[in-house]
This record gives sequence, C-alpha cells and structure tokens, in this order.
Amino acid sequence: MSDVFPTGPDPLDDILDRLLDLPQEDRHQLLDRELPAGSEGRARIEALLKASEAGGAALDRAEQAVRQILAHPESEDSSDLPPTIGGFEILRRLGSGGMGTVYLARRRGDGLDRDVALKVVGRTGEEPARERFRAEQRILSRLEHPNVARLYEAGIDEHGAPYFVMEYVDGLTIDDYADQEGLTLEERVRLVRQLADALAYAHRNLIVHRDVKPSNILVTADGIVKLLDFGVAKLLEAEPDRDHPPLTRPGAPLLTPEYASPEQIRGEPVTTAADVYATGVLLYELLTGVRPYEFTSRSPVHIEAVISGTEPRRPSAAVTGAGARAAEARRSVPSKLARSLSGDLDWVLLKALRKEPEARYGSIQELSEDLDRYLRGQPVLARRPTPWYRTRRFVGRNRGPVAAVGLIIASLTLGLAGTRWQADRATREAEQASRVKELVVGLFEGVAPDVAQGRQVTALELLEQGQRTLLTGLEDEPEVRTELLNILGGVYTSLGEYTRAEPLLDSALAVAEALGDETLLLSALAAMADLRYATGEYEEGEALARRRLDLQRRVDPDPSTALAAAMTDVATFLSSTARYEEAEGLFLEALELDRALGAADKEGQDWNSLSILRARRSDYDGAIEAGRSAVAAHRRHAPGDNTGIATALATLAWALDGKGEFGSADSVYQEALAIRRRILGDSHPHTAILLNNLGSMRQKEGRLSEARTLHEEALALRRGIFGNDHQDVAASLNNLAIVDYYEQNYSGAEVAFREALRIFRLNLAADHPNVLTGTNNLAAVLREQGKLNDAEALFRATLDDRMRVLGPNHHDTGGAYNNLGGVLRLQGRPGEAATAHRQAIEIFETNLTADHPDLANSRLSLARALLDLDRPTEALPVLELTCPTYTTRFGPGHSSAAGCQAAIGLALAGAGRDAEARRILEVAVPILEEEQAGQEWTLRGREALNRMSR
Amino acid sequence: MESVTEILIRSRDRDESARDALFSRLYDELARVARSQLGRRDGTLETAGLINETYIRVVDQGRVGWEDRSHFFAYAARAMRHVLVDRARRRTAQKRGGGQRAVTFTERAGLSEDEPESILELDEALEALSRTDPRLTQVVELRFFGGLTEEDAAQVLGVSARTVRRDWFKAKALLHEALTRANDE
Repeated sequence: MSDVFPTGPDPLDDILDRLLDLPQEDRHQLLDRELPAGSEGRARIEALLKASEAGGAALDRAEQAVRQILAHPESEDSSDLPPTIGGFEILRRLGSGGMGTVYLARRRGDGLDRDVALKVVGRTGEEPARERFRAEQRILSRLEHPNVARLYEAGIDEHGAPYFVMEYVDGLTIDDYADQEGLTLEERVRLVRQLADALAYAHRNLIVHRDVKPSNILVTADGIVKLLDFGVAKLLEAEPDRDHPPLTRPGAPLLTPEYASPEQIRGEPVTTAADVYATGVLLYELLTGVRPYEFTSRSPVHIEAVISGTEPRRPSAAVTGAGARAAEARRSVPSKLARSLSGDLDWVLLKALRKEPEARYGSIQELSEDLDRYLRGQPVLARRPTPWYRTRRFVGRNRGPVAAVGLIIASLTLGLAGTRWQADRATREAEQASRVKELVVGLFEGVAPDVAQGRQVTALELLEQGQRTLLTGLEDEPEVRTELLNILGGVYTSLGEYTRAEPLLDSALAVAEALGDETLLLSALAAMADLRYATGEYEEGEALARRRLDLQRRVDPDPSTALAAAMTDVATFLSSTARYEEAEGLFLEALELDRALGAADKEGQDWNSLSILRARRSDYDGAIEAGRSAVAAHRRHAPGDNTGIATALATLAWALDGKGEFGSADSVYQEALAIRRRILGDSHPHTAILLNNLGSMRQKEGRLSEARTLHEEALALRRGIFGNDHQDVAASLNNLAIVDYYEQNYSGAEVAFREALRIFRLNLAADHPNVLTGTNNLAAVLREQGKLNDAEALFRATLDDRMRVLGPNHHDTGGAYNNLGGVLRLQGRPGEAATAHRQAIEIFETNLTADHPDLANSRLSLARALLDLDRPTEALPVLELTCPTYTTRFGPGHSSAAGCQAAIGLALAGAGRDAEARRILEVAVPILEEEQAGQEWTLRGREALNRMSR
Repeated sequence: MESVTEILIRSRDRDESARDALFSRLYDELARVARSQLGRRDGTLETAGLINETYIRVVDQGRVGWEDRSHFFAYAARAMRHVLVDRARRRTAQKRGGGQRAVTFTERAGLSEDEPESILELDEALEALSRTDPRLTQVVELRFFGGLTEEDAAQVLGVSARTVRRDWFKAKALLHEALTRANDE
C-alpha cells in the first residue's frame, strides 16, 4: 500500500480534495478530465477510492455493532443493586439515563404491596438545599391528576443523592405508543390533549414541569397518558444562576436540549410558557416524525444558536422529508400527510414554538382548546389573520364569491374531457368501444386466459391484441380494415393514448384516400380531427375538419345530421382559437339543420356546444339559456336518464358556476352526477369530470377542504382509468395545486404545478391552452414565493404563446397581460406594469361583462401602478370606475372594497385633495388594518393618514 | 474528588498524570452513561450524544477555553473507543462461554445477529494504523467513536475541515488494507 499511498504530503492531495468535494456520481468526470486513463496517478486514485469505500463498509458494520451494544444494557449482576434506598426495597433496575437510575421498589414493612418507581439522581451535582427540597416536595406530593404520575415522596439518601418515589407506570413512551398503535394525526392530537390537561392542572398549582419530552410521557395499555417526573427539574434546580445558563451549568440537571425553549437555553426565568413550547416540540414530532430543528452538531453552542436563532421548518414541509415510513405509521402517505398538516396544524405548531414566550399561546389551556377546534373542524385561533384566510372564512359564511385581488390563476374544468365538448362524442366513444369489445372478445374467447395469465385484462391489452390479430387477418378486406383502424384509433384517442392512435388513423386516412371511398374518408377525417383537437394541434385539426365539411357538402348537399356534425366540428376549432362570432354562427346553422330534421338529441348537443362557447367568452347569461335549451331538447328526445341529459346538465351547471350562481349550480351538478353515476357507474371519466368541475367551484366558493376532497376523488378515478401520465390527471393535479395556493402552501403548490405541466407537455402541443395555463399557474406560485424574475419570464412566455394561439383578443391573453403587469409592479417597474394592465383592460372590456372580477382586478392594478408613477389624477378616474364593482359585489365593509377605497384616498391625497382623502381613508384603513394588517396598501394608507394629520 | 474541569485545566501544560486522570475519569463517566439507556428513547444512541451529554454535565464551561474543549473531546473519543471495545470483548466472551450466539433485539430493525467482533477487528486495525500514522488514527477516533462532524474534528485537531475529510478518506482505505491483511493471516 505504501507505494500506492505514501504518508505525508502527497502530490495527489489536491486532486483528492477536489474529488471529495464532489458528489459520488460526478467524480468520474473530474477524474477523466484531470488524470488520463492508464496514467500512474489515475491507477492510484482508483485503487484508493475502492479501498476507502471498502473501509467505509467495514466501519458501517462496526457502527451497527456499536448501536447494538449501546441499545442493549449489559446483563446486571444483582449484587450491583443497592438493597434499600430511603426505606424502600429495591427489586430491580428499570433503567438508567442522563438523570440517574430508576429502580422498581417496594416499601418495606408498611403492608401496602404497592410497587413504586424510585429514581436516584446522579451524584455529580451539588447537594440541593435540604430545607427547600423538603418544602417543594411536600407541595408536589399533593398533586393528584389522572394524567400525572404521582410523586409519593422525595428524599436524600445516605450518600447525599436525591431520590424520588413515584407512581410506577407500566406503559410505552408516547412516541413509541403512537407508532406501535399506528395512530392517525387526529388520534395523536387527542393524546397530546391529555398531556395538556396534566400540564394545565399543574400550572394551576403554580408548578412548571420544565422537562416535557417523550421519555417522560408514558401511555398505559388503556391509552391513558401519564406525565412523569413532575417537579423533579424544579426540585433539583440550584439557585438561579445567570452566569451559567442551564445547558452549560456544571452539575445542573441535564435538560434535553431538543425540547428546551429558547429562554431555558439562555438561562432566563422559566414560566409555564416553556411547557407550552416543549409540548409544541413534542406534538410536532408526533405528527411529523421529525423534530422542528435539525442539529448538524451536538455541541451546546450550536444547539443554542439553532434553537434561539432559526425558525422551525413548517410541519407540512418537514413531513415530506420524513418519508414514507413516518407517514405509514400515521396511516397515511407523505403527500396526504403534508396536506393534512398544512394549514391549521402548521399554524398551531408554529404559534406554540414561537421564540418569544409572550407570542406563544397564553396558556397550555389555550393550546389545548385550539387543538380541540382543529379536531372539530373549526378555524383555529393561531391562524395568522391573512387577508386570504379571512376571505375564506368570510366566504365560508356564504356571503358570496370572492376574487382575490391580484393574479388570475385558472383551474381546468370541463374542456378537459380529452374529447370534444359535444356530447355525441361520448355516445360515439361508447358505441365504438362496445363494437371493438364485441369483436375482440368474440375473437379471443379461447385465447384470453392465456393472454391474461390470471390477471385482469385491461382495455388497453385487449385493444393491442385486437389490433395485431384483426389487422393482419384483414389484408384483403381494406374497407373493413380501414373502418377498424378508425375505430381503434378513436378509442385510443378517447383513452388519451395519442401516440398509439396516430399511426392507426394515419394509415386509415391514407387507405381511404387511396380507395377513393368517400364514406370511409369522411369518418377518417373526423377521427383524425378529433385526435388533433385532443393534442391541441388546432391548425391541422381545423384543416381536416374543413376538408370533411367540404367533402360532406359535395357528397350530400341536402340537409342531414351528418352535415350538421361536420359544421359543429369546424365550429369547435373556431371556438378553441377564440373566433367566437364565427363559431357561434356555425353552431347556430347546425342547430337549425338538426331542428328542421327533428333530431332532438342532436339539437340538444348543439345547444350544449353553444352553451360552452358562450361560457368561454364569459357570456354566462347566454350560456345558461343555451344550457337550459339543451336539457329541454334532450328531455324531448328521451325522457328517462341518458348521457345526453347528464352532459347538458353538467354544462348548465358549469355556466351557472361561471356566472357565480353557486347555489343553483350546485343542485344541477348534483343532478348530473346522480344520473352519470346511475348510467355510467362511479368510475367513468365523465363522472371524474363532474367531480373535478364541482371541486373547482368549491374552491371558488372558498370551501377549500371540500374542493380538495373532490379533486382527490377525481384524481384517483383518473389515475385508475388512465394511469399517471394522462392530461386529465394533470388537470386534477393543477386543481389540487390551486387549493394549496389559496392555502398559502406555495411550495406544495409549486411541486404539483410542475408535475401537471410535465404531463401536459408530454401529451400536448407546446402551446396547447392547458400547457399555457399550467405555465401561468406555476409563474403565479413563483411570484408568491418572491421569485419575481422567474415569474416574469414565465408570464412573458405565456403571453407570447397565447397571443399566437388564442389571438390578441382572447380573455386568457388578457389574463397573461394582467399577471405580467402584477409582477412588473412588484419589481419596481410601474411604467411597464401600467402598459400591460392597459392591454389587459382593453381585452377584458371587449370580452367581459362590465362587472367581471378580472376586469375590476386589472383596473385596480393599473391604478396602483399609476400611483407608483406619481400620477394620481390619472389613477382617480380608473378607480372611480372600478371601486363600485367591489362594493356591489362584496359590500362596503369588505376588505376588497376597502382596498380599492384606500387607493382612491391615496390618489386624492396625491392630488392635494386632503380633506376628501382623509374622509375616505379614515373609513377604509381601519378595515384594512383589521383584515390585511401589514400589507403594502394597508401601510400606505396609514402613512398617508399620519402625514395629513401632521 | 477532583472535578473534570480541574483535571482539564491541569492537563493544559502537558501534564501526563493529569492526562491519564482525564482519560480514566472520562472512561468511567462514559461507561456509566453507556451502561443503560432508559430515558434515552428519543433516538440519540449515538456516541456523540453520550459524549456531549457528559461534557455538559461534568465540565464547567465558564472556566474552560476552546483548547480545553478540544482536549476534552479528543480524550473522550479515545475513552469511548475503549469503553466500546471492552464491552465488545466482554460480549464476545459471553457468546463463546455461553456456547450460543447472543441475539440482540434492536427496536426498529428487529432481531439481528450481534457482531461485537467487528468492533474488535476495527480496534486492532486502528492499532496497526497508529504505528504509521497517528493523526489518521485520531481522525477515526474523533469521527467514528466521538461522532464529531468534520468541522468539529478539524477544530480539535487544529487543521482544516478539508484535511479532515481527506484524512478520513485515506484512513478508511488504510483500515481496509489492515483488515484484509489481518484476515489473510
């Protein structure tokens, strides 16, 4: 070895250092660069790396052995036991720890055969003052509470060591108990409430525990929490000693630094607030499986610096690092656990863990009551009074919809079926699927068991089998073969398997063209257009749809439902690219045709398409009217439950939801859902769409936890049907992320938005509206996290793409301008921001109703940018136009209205109209201070008021 | 009894007897703390925890400087090594004497075979290493038995963290060599 590795300075040390700085996987790159293969140095380094790794493995084995040795006490020679202590017979050692040794003991000769735990404290400390010791222990021995292990007596043995005689509790430490029993979050919270009862009782008796930690809290087999070692810390305490803080005080009882409050660590006076803090740490650990702080070293200085100088990780964020095992022990999975923690439990824990004792809960009772509120689903008091939370609760009291002032982020509803909007698609798919199924099942009746090999055969496997066999067997029947290709391709499209669909449909189209069979060509064109629509290739799709319409007119110019269907296909593409007028004309033309032909079901579908088109351009009244006509037409066609009625109801609900009539929308959603469940079963993609849309409505209503449940249900359904990489799955992830966003769990939202975007990009054209929505939403969450430059870049990219795909007049293009403007203002670029907002306003004014929240939003943002530019007289008319919208929508006392009013006040003040400004600000600012304390416009309003009163 | 703080202060001036006293006191303390683990069910079984706990308990920090602290950790790591080796030796003897393999129940991992021999082998390899490179041996003591981080070990040794990292890497390679040689013999 010595030739490979001389001791002392080594010319290879430098490269070794650089190598060790790198993660394992990057090391070879550096080696290749610095030491050519075959060189002497290279061989030495390689040999070293290998040997060192092997040496590391040997150390790992030794470490395992060390752990076992430390975990396993040496067998005890009973002659080691003291026979008696303080008149108690010592039966056996229960264990030893930092604070001393605990024995199982029994009083000799008192006739009471009661086992007790007797703890002798190590003799390293100074002997406590006997008088005080006795006085204190008399107080402690009077403590009696079901959750407190009683202290029977305490004394000082013949060697001068203090001992404590306590109730013997047979149980597990609280953390082990919770894990072994696999308790859920709620059950863990209930355990900690028992602990809180014990502490509250002691605090009423003016006793602080000071050493709350898992090893001091046992849970009996009946689930009763018993707090041990009450008052021990206090009894052992020497006189207060400011020169030697507890962590470093010689001879002081050892406190467990992980659970010690900052004031304990610093040796400052300890109050009941220290127990509140330690309970917070304990609850944190029980809920997340990790501690609030991470210590990279166990040196006292480091621990003190971390506890008093850093903020704890948010529990919901910490739990993702805790991994699957911690989640499993709580009968959950990490993502779900994080979501359950985020929000109320996050707030409760962070309040309990505040550094300043006075900022924590005022008492352990208050903490316990807040936990009780959590368990009963009521808002917790710890919740930081952010505008959004207040808004949510405001909305929760059913006082109407609230739009956040600021960014427009979009949930993805209805249009996400992965199929066209027309309901006949649903029927067609069902027909196609059942035809294929009949064929395939018929052909494979004998073969299926082999194929399946005992598993459930998936639709996809069946299709693949069908494809292979059917198509090879039909070489001499091109017409049948082409039709089958078309059907198979159509089914793949509806399953979201676009890459499988494409070659089949390509070949169907080619054969149909070669054969010159017009009927085949019509269906091939329709199927291919469907695929292009699904993947967002609108230009190609529209060309195909137009070809189909031309061909249809040539083949059969007479009025027919086929002609109407061809028209609606073209109209659908027009509508997707925001050419609404043209689209509406074509839909109406198709509608007239179908009506004249007496095809009520087709007429219903046309009304349905019209309704969706109108809702998209925010003409909600028109959409609702069309939706009602669709329902009526379908009822005329067939009175009982059918998919047509279900779809029309879903669309009507969507339109009502869009208008903000959540109450009516709700009952219509429920009706549609009931019908779909009856006809299609619980696990059909269309049921998932309804759950999804309903979930997004709940989110708009501010009923976030219901929204989450619905989206999770839809997500599970979709994953079950489509697998993990389907765009409907991405839509659900996006919608769940929006719930996170409004719960201000931005990091969680970011992860989910990114995953949704990844899936959209996998399936769709780079500029598909869903990709753009995903990008927009991701940018919004980046902005909330203060990553302004990244957000700006993404908003700009979204804007460019929307301009190109949707055109300069689309509502979503306006949304992109608005969002870009919002970021620019935050970056201190109010001039550019104003320009962007003006663009947005222009688009919104042509597309939206005068009181649409997006329009109001953008006007208010423009006015704020103008105020930043010190152009109050320009801001004023904009605000006077906008503010009434908020007042009408939310009422004058609402913070959104007050925010707008405050801007008016600032504009007036800027224009020198102080008297008017004061009148307005004096009303608006207090509302804002109540609802949006510390926010930019609240502070600016207050400053202006102060300035004017000087 | 003289306090550890006193001994630590006395050992500042290369006082050999003081250093012996320090070692044997730390051995006793650590052996006592390591003897049983009640009250330590919060997962901190690591040697680092035991040593730190001992430091906090027995050293009056107001009276010592960082150099004394370094001394303490250097000796504590060595003492820890000897405590563990002695324990491993007794356990191996038990295994042989009892004619059956001792089986340890570790809480999370379930039943696993106890292999105290690996500690003894490591100790012998370290002995061999100390003859050629005492500093590498000390790095292993501090990092492995003392559980010190790179930074803390660097402070104790008065070298850079980078040097510790490099030494640790080399020491592992040399230990592997020594272990292989021992197995070949």
